[in-house]
Amino acid sequence: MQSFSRPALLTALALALAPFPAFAAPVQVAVTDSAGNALPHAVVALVPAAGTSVPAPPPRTVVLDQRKEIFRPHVLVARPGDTLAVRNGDAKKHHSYSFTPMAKFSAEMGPNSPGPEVALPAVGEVAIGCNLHDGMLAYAVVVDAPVAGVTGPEGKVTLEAPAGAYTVRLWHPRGSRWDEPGKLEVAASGASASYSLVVEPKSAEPGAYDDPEQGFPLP
Amino acid sequence: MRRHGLSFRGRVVVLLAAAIGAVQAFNAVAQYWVVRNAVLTRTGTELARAAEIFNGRVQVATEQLGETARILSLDFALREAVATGEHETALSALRNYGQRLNGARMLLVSLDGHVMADSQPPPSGPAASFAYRSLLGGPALRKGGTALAVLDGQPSRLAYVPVLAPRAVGWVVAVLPLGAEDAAALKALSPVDIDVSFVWQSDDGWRAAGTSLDQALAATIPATAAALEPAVPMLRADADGDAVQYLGTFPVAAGSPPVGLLLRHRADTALEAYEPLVYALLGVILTGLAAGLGGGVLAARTAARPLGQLAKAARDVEAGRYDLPTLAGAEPAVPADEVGRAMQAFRQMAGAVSDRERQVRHQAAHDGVTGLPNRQELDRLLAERAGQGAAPLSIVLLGLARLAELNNTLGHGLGDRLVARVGDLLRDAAGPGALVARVADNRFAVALPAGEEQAAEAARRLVGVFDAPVALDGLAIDVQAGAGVAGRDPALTPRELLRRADVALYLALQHDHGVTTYAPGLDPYRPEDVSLMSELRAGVERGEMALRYQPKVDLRGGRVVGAEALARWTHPRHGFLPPDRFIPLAEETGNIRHLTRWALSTALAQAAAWRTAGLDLGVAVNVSARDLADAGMADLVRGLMGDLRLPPRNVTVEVTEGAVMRDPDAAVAVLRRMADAGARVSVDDFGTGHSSLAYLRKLPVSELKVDKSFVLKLASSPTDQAVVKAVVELGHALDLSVVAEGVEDAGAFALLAGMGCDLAQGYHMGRPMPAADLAALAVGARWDAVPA
Ligand SMILES: [Cu+2]
Repeated sequence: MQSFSRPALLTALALALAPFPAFAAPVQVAVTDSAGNALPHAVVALVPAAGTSVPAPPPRTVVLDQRKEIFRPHVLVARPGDTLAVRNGDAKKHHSYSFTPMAKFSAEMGPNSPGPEVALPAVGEVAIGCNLHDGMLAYAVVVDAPVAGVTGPEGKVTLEAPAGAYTVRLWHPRGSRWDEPGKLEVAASGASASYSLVVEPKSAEPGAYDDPEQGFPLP
Repeated sequence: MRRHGLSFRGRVVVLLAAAIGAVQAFNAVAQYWVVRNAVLTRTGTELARAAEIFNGRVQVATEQLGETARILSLDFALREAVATGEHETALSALRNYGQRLNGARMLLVSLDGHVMADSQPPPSGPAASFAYRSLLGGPALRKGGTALAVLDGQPSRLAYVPVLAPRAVGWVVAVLPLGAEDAAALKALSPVDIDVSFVWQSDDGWRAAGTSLDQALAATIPATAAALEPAVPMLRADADGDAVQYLGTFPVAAGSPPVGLLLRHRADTALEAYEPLVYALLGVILTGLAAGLGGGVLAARTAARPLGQLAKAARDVEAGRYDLPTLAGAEPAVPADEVGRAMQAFRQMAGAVSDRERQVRHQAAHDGVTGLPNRQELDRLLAERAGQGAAPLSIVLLGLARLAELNNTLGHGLGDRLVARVGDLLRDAAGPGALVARVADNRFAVALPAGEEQAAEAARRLVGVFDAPVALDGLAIDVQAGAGVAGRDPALTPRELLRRADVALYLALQHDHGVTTYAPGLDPYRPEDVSLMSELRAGVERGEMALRYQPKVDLRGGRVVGAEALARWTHPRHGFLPPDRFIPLAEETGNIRHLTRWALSTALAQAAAWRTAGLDLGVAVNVSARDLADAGMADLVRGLMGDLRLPPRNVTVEVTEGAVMRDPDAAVAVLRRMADAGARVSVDDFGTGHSSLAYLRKLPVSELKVDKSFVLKLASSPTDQAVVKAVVELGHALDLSVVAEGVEDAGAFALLAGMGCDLAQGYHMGRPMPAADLAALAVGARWDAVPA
């Protein structure tokens, strides 16, 4: 099973992170909460400012896997027109659903089975849960930005962006709104920036979906 | 004694019983209160513990509600309906769930607190926003929570759970009011009978919610809750009596009015377990009362009986029984306590009273100077003696003539000693059997168990004691004494006897006669007698006096041979007076002389008249002792006999034995002169006096008159017959004629005739009568001695 899934995921990641490797420069962004703690699962989107031209990437299929009763990833980012592919990597049944009108679905999946492919036609946040496991929660954040990514367990993400001026937009499940902390000039050699975000305190319950250790792809 | 209805004994019993009863009652009440307080404390603790348990129960039930609500909230259809805004669908689902949750009210609340659906909206309509929205959100966002709060006027369990779709899109709130069923369920939890009420505090006071109490008591809940302090058990009376009440409080949601748990446990229920103790206490009280009564009776026995005896003893003393017969038996039973000492003291007091009374009585009864009985004591003693029988009793009253004078001369101290000495002398001289008393300052009475004559003799002896001067302190004091004598007349009281002796003494002292014997005529205390004496002489002169003649009959011939002349006084006011009313009086006052002279003149003149008429009748005239002292009397007789030419046998003078014996020598002289003058001398009342034959022989006596006391019952008395016979023989032996007086029947007449008695006088022959009647009798009558 792992031999099957790993190459598929890597392919997807490669598509997402390096659409135009030839023209892009690395942009390193770190996000913390207001207390300075690293904030994983934060969406970082760079919207090109006037004068900056970034070619729109082609539509993709983003995969939402379910392993060990956790949606992986907890937060994923997509662009309008992309497709969300839900699959079950657990040896148990899951019943994923979303009541978000744009991407409403409900699907029961047997162990290690592919699930529905859900179109993400417009900008918005799609909350996905499992009717069998209340602790499972995932967000598919659809944003109209050519460059976007999600912070990893250390609250950092490296984006590839052509040089130019961008508006930085930040989103986090415990904030549930878009923040625009400022502009970012990306040089030809790239850029790095760090931002802090005001979020709700995380749940004290261990193993919860917003646990920083959770919601990341397993090795 | 029993004025107050309850005797001392009764009061002791009641007091003791009351005291013990009171102590027992106090004890019982104190014990009851201790027990009661213990019960209250215990019950209070129990209630507090129960409140804690109930609180926990409610908490658990609320959490269960929350759990169930949470599970229900995860229903996919509900999530979908909420997430997609299909509120009608959501509401129908909520109603359904509410029924599964014991009929809980279900609310659907938006994330911002607006009520989007309400399964049981209040009458006022659904609220726009949830009252406790502050509960929602924060950490509760994922799992929800529970709370206790007052919602729409009802203390309620709230369970709020987010509707996850999969993020929280709203809240489901389950609301379960604390109702009567819950109260009943809690009540059922408790092993003891605890009533449970849920209360909450509104702006205007406590209000009742669900309760296990009945309606009537439920109405009192607000007042009770208001009166209680939270967590402090309290005993309160409500409509159902005393009860232990406890107000516990619930933790409530922020912003909710306080919610309380009111617990009530009936005090009697609480005390029920102690009922046996109450009965035991009651038993103790009753036992105490019984013991009190018993003890009271015992105490009364030991205390009141001696007191009763004391009271009786007091009556003994009152009655003069100083030997205290009542206490005599009580002695061994008397304890050495206060009552015993009181008895002892009482006994001593009785003794002292007795001694003092004896002393007082002695002082009252005796003369302080001589130590002799006084007048009152003498009266008493004489009365005592009179009561013992009719023994002869005479009184000699001895008077000291010069005592006042002596007192003045000698001083009273010496005077008193003189009187004392006189008393001693009298006592010695009177001899045993005589009673000597000092009846006045200068008077001593000597009571003798003797006749008048013997008393007179004793009186002369007593007066004779003072012929010699009394030796006192080297002085020879001349005491002049006189004595009055009064003999016993059975009809007289001792007092009267003493009075008569006093009369006699008075005369004795006045006339310097050593001794005077009482005679009625002497008595100055009979006012009519006193006036009689002054009138006697006038009466004689006015011719109020008359003579009556009692016949003397010759016992041999049966013919009247003479008469005794007896004076009669027809007083102008008093009418007819018998001789004994005025003769003794006249004798003692000396007036008798006039009477005797008149009688002699009249009687002798009558004899002369009879003689003239041809009747040879003698007359006898009584001559008193006084007359015997009158030498002129003999001359009178001599003169009259000469004038009237009366032969000696026709004139007799009668003298009493006593009159002769009073002054025998003088009497003998006068009588001899009368006899010389030619009169016969007759001794009257012969046999009553104590004349000695020696004197009799000295007298010129011609005749003896046997006293009528020997003659009246002669026929029936052999003794009298012997006496009379002896007198007759004696008389004849002395050549005297013998006359019997008091002949009242033919029997006596015949006996006297048989004895040889010379003459008879008495009612058998005739009463004293006028001279003419006697003359007729002398002519026509004759008495024969008919043997009986
Ligand atoms: Cu699942």
